Amino acid sequence: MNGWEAVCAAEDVEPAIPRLVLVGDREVALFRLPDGFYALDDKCTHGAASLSDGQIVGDQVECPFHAGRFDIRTGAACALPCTEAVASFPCKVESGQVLVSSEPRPSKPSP
Amino acid sequence: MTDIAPSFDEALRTVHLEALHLDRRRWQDWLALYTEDCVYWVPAWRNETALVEDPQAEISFIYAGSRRVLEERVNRLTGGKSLTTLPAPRTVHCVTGGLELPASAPGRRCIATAWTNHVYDPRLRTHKVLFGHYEHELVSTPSGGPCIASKKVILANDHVESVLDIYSV
Amino acid sequence: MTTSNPSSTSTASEEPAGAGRGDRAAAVDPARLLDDRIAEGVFAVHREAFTSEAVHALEVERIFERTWVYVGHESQVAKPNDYITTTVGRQPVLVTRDAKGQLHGLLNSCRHRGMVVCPLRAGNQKFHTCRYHGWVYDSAGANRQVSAQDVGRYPQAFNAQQLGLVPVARFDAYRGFLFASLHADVPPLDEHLGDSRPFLDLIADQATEQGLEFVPGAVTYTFDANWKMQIENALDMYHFAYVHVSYLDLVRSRAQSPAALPPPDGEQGSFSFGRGHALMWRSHSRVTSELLARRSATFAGRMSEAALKWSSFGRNLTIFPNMQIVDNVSSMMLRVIRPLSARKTEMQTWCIAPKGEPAAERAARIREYEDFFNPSGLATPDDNVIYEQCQTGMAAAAAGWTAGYLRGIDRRGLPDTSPHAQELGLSGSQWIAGPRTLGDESCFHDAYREWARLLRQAPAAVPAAEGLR
Repeated sequence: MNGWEAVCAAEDVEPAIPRLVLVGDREVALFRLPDGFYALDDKCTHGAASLSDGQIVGDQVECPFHAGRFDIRTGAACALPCTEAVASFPCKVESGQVLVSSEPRPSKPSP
Repeated sequence: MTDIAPSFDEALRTVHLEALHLDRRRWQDWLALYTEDCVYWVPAWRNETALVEDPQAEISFIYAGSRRVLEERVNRLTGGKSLTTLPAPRTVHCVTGGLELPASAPGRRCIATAWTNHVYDPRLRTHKVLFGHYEHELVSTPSGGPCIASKKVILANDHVESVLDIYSV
Repeated sequence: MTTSNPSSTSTASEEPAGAGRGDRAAAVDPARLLDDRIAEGVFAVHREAFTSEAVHALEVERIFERTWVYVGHESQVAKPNDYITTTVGRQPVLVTRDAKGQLHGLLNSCRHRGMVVCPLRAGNQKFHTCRYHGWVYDSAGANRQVSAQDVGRYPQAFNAQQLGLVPVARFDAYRGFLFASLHADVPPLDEHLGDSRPFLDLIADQATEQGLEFVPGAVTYTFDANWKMQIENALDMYHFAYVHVSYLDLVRSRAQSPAALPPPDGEQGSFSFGRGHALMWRSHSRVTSELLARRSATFAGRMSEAALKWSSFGRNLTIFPNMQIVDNVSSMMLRVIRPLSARKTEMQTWCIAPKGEPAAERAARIREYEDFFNPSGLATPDDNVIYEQCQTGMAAAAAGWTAGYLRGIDRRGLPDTSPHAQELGLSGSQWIAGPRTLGDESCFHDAYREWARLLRQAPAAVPAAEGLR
């Protein structure tokens, strides 16, 4: 499905806690940073963990299984054991609702 | 109490003197080193890494909010009615370091040291070692000489073997 | 000639050379260690019960790892994903509250190669990851990931879903007190606790609307003596005036006036509930009338008159084999007994308090608790030294049986049922009561009967874990 999907009210997303939302059939982890909303594929590329169960550390999310990290804005893998980026999805806010694109951003190589 | 804190050297000497009074069981001399409204505190640990911070809301091994409470302990140790000191163990406190830390109030000198205490029970012929850090705050007295206004004992190995008292730490 | 005391601070139990576990277990005959002929006025426990490492090994296997044992309080795992770790006998156990709020008792050992999955004493974690090979369990114990499973060439029958943390065989709660058994062949917890429950209620009912909590600050200590001395001592009022005379002197010196001291009269008594549990009580505690009045006002709305009366009595409750709660009224203490060897025991102790207590009352409670119950206080250390000297004396095997279990045997003139049974809701417990100086020892008997019963049981097969057969 192309296009944007409204996933929740902006005020329902807390700064310190990722939120699990559905974009079509895809589970997505939604984050609120000081400069806006960001969304990553919920499934960690290292294993079966849900990034929405993870911990936000600055600009990164730490996976709850093995403490690997991803950049919240880009999905790039930042700390071992994660080496493969997760998909990152554009977000915008309209009329107090957070919208997430069903199309991921083009993938970037991990640093 | 005067407003001028004791010198670093005087304060550190008192810390060592305190340990010697404990080892020699000169309890009255030991008590005399403390101010009447002193605080003597051996906090427990909340968990593996964090010490208790508020003795009014959390458990301590020993918390005495005045010298009177320390006098009670000394009376018990010397009264011949507590088995814990029949006989009293032999202790050797090794106090090292001696760094000045910011004091909590004017007129006080705060000294941080590390301590190791070897405790020998002459009845059981057993030896145990306790260790940790001290934070002493000392004030000057009009009669001369520094006095301990507060002593915080951080006990590193808090798995207590049978008895822990003022001479154990 | 003085000789070195054999009960030195050695942490390892000393095994006779060449003797395996089976040899030692076979050498223990409970019938030889307990002389229970009450009708003839005889009850005695053999000294070897306290000194034999073979007895200790069998106690661990057939008591601590076989029957219901206390493992924690619900307030210690209050929120989803909270956990504490403890032991049942030698076995590491993880008590968790899962993400949905349900409590679990799990063996704290990774299904892969046995590593302790959760090494810390307490915390909050949605997932428990084994640090060895990264296997992941959730807070219900389910296996959520076998690292690199798809490329691991596991046998075809391998099923990660069957490799969650193994639950203890039985796990249940009474009024927030959590119990576990490693074997399924135990009666339901309610039946096991029996008539001890009204006395657990007297603790639980002191909770505010927010509940009870353990005051932060961990105290763990050891004494170089057998655990059964602790079982006896907490039920023993007889020793108090002798061992704790220095504490009594101190209380006397602190009292503002003679009126503040507890009156010299009053009653003392005990109940034995079956399955090893018992309670010793005394009608006067050492608290001020002001504190009693305050408690009355607090509890009047939620306790019956009988419960209010009993809550003002000092009460020492033992839930066999490993838990004791002492309510001195001015403070309450819960402790766990863990035998490390025949001659060494570890104790963990907590101050139980009603949540939301006013700050000044909490501070006063803490000082009372520290004074009496801490190994750094003014009473418990004397008990610890007593146990150690008893352990030394127990080695005098040639002195034969002790006469330590006889007080309270003569029941002439006492009805079978306690006059207090009805108001307490008891259904048939043994009881005794008398003057303050009664010093009953019959309340120890039930613990030894249960001890002997459990030691006589045939060894149970180790339950097979799922997924490996």
